[in-house]
Amino acid sequence: MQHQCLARPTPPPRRFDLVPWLSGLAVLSLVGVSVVRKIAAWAGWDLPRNVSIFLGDYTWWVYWGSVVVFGLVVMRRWDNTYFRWRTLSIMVSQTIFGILLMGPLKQELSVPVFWQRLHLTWPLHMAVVTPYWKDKLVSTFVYGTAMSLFAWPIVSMLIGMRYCSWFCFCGNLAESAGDSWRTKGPKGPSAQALDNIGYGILGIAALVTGAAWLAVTWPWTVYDIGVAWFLATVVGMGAYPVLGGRVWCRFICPLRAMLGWFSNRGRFAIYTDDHRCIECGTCNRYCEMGIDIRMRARQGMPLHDTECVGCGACIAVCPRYALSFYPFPSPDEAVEARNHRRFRRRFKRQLATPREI
Amino acid sequence: MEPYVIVGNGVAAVSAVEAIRARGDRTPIVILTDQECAFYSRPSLYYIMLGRIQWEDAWGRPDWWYEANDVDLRCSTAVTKIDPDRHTVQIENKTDIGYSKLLLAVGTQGRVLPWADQHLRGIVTLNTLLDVVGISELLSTASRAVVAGGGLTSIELVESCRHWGVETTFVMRGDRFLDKQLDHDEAEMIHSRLRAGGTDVRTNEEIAEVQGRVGRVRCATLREAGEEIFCEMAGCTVGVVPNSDLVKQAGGETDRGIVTDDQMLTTLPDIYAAGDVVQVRGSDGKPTRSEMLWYVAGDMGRVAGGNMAGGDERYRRRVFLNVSEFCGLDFCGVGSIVPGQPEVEETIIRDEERGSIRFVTLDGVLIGACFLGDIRLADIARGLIAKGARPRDLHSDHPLRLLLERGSP
Repeated sequence: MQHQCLARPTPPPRRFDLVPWLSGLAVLSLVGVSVVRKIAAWAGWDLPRNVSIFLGDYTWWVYWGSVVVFGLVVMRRWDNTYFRWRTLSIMVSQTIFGILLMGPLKQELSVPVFWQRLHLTWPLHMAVVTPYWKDKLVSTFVYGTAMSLFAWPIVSMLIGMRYCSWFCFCGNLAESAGDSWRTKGPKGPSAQALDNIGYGILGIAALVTGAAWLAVTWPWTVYDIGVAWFLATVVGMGAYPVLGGRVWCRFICPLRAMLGWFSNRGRFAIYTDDHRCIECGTCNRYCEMGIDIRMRARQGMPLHDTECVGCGACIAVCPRYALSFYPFPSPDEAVEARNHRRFRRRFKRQLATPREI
Repeated sequence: MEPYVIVGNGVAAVSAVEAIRARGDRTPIVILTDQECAFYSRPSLYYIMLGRIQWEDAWGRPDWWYEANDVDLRCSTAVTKIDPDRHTVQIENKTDIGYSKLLLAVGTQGRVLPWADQHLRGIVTLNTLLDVVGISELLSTASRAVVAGGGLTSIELVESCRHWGVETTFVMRGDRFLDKQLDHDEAEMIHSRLRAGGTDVRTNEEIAEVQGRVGRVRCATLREAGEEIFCEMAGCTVGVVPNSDLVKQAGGETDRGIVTDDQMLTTLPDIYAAGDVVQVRGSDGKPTRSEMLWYVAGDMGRVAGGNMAGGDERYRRRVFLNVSEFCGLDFCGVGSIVPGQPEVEETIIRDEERGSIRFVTLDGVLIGACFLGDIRLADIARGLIAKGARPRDLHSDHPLRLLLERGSP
C-alpha cells in the first residue's frame, strides 16, 4: 500500500558529506577575493587588468553558482513544498537581479536603473535613497523609498520577513550555501542580548544618509567600509562555518531590524500546538536566528518574533507537526465558520501538513 | 520558612516550578529525584534512537534554569517515606527534609514481568535516558532482539531495532498491536508493514522465560509456540505502574495512581500530586483514568504549582490528542477511540491515498477520531470534538462531512 503523503523514510546513518566543504570553500573564497580587492583599492595597487576582471567575474559567478548549486542541494535535502518554493524564489531572484541585471549582462541589457534596483532596499543598500546616482536621482529615490519604507514593511506585516528568506542577497546565500551550518546559530540569553545591535546600526545608517544629503561624505565612507564591507562580507560570510549563515542578518543587519519591528506588529506568526509539543528542542537547534521556539510551543502560544525570517526550518523538522504558519483551528473556527470561501481557503491550508506547505 | 519540596523531576515538576515563580512566590524549592540527571524530554527518546533528534537537544531546560529559579536540584535522591503530620519527607539515608507544601510528580515505572526480573545484560525497558544509552550500545552489536508488549513504547523499541538493522520478534499478548486504540484492520496495516520490513510479529503470545549465559541474554522461550528464539536483547515494555506507594503508606487515597481533586490536592494536607501518577477525581467522585501524555502532565503541574503558590486553579481535561509515528505511518488518536464499543457508531475511510481514518460518533456527536497515515484532519476533528459537534450539522461542503459521507455505507 503506497501512501503518497506519508512515506517518510528513516534517514540513513550519516556518511561523509562533501557539500559543507564545497560551500565553505565557495563562501570563504568570496570573502578572500573581497579582501584582496579592498586592500588593493585602499593601497592603490595597480592590479593587472586581467586580474581585476577575473576577480570581478569570479565574485559574480561564484555567488550566483553557489546560490543555484547549493539551492538545488537544499531542495533535495529539505524535501518539502515550502522549501521548494522558497529555494526556487531564491534561485530565480538572484539569477534575475543578481546576474542578469547587474552582472556581466549589465551593459548588454539597456534597462532603466530602477529595474536593476527593484530589490534593493534601504538601509541594506544605502545608495537607493541618497544622492549617490546623480543622473537617476528621481527614479532611484522614488523606488528606493517606496520599497524600503512602504512595500517591504507592509509585506513583513502580512507574511513576515519573507524578504530575508526569499529575496535578499545576503539571506539567500545563507539559505543556500549556508544551509549546511544551519544548526550553528548562537543560542541562549547571552546571544539574544546582542540581537538589538541592528537597531543601533539602523540609527547610524539614518545619520549617514542624512549626512550624505547634506553633502558630508566621510560618514558614508566609514559606513561603507565598516558596516557594508567588513561586517556584512568579512564577518557575515566568514562566520558561516562557525556561527551559521545568519550572523549578519541576526545581529547587525539594519534592514532586518527595521522589518522585524514591522513584522512583530503585523499578523505574521508561527503558530504552535502544545498538545503535540514534546519539548524535544529540535526547532531551536535548526533556528538560525536563535529564537527560543520551544518555550512558545510548550505554552501553545503563537510566536511573534522580531527575529523570525520565515525560513520554515522549525516547521519542517518538528517530529510531531506542532508548528505551522497557519493557526491550528480552535473549536469555534472549526464549527462556526459561516463565511465559506474564507473558511475553505483556511481549511485548504490547514489540510497541508508542515512538510507540504 | 520551610521550602516547597517537589518529588520527581519530569515535566509536571518543572511546569509547577514555573507556575510557582510566575505567581511571584519566591519560596525556595527543593526537587528530589531518583534520576541521575536534570530534566529531559521523555517522548524524545524514541526520536533520539531513530537518529532524528540529537540527545543534547532533549535537555528540557538550560543549565542555568535551576539556579535562576532558586531550585535546589538533588539528583539520585530517592524518597522513601512521607510524613504528612510532621510535614517531612525521608530520603534514602534516613535524613528528614521538612516542607511547607509537597508536590508528588513521581510518574510511573515500567511493569516488570517475572522473566525480566533478573540481572542479565540485554534485558531492557525504554523509560529513561540511561535506557537509551544502554539500548543504543546493545543494538550496535546485537543481531536479534525480542520485544514483549503491545503498546506505543513497544513499537518505539521495535522501530529502534529496525532502524539499527536488528532482526526483531515482536511478541504481544493481545490479538493485535495497540488494541486499546486501533481496530483489527488498522492494526493489520501495522502488522503487515512490520512483516514486510522483516519483523516477526507474534500475536496471542508471550515470553515464558529468558535464559542467559555468562550474564547476557541468550534466548527467549515463547509460551504458546514453545519456540526458543536466540537473541541478544529482550525488551520488556508491557505497560506501566504508577509510583503511588508513598501516598499509600502515608494513608492517602490511591486507586491505581494517586487520587486528587481537580486542584491536584491529594487527600493528605498540603500534599499535591501531578503528572502520570495522578488520577483526577471526576464529577461523580470516582477517580478517572489517567492520560499519560506530555501536555497533560504539564497542565497538571501548572495547576498544582499555581495552587501551591496560593492560587485557585482547576484542572480541566482537554480533548485527548496523541501523535506518533511508526512503520512510515503517522498516527494520531483524538478523543475517545477505543474500538469495538457497542454503543458507538464508527465510520471508517480507508484508501490508498489517506491510509485509514476512523470517526467515532455517539448519538450523532463526534467523540473520537483515529488517523493512521494521513493525520491532516486531526486538528479539525479535535476542534469538533471539543465543541461537541454533530457531523450531520456541518455545512455540506465541509471536508470532514464529505469524508464522512464517502465513508458511510
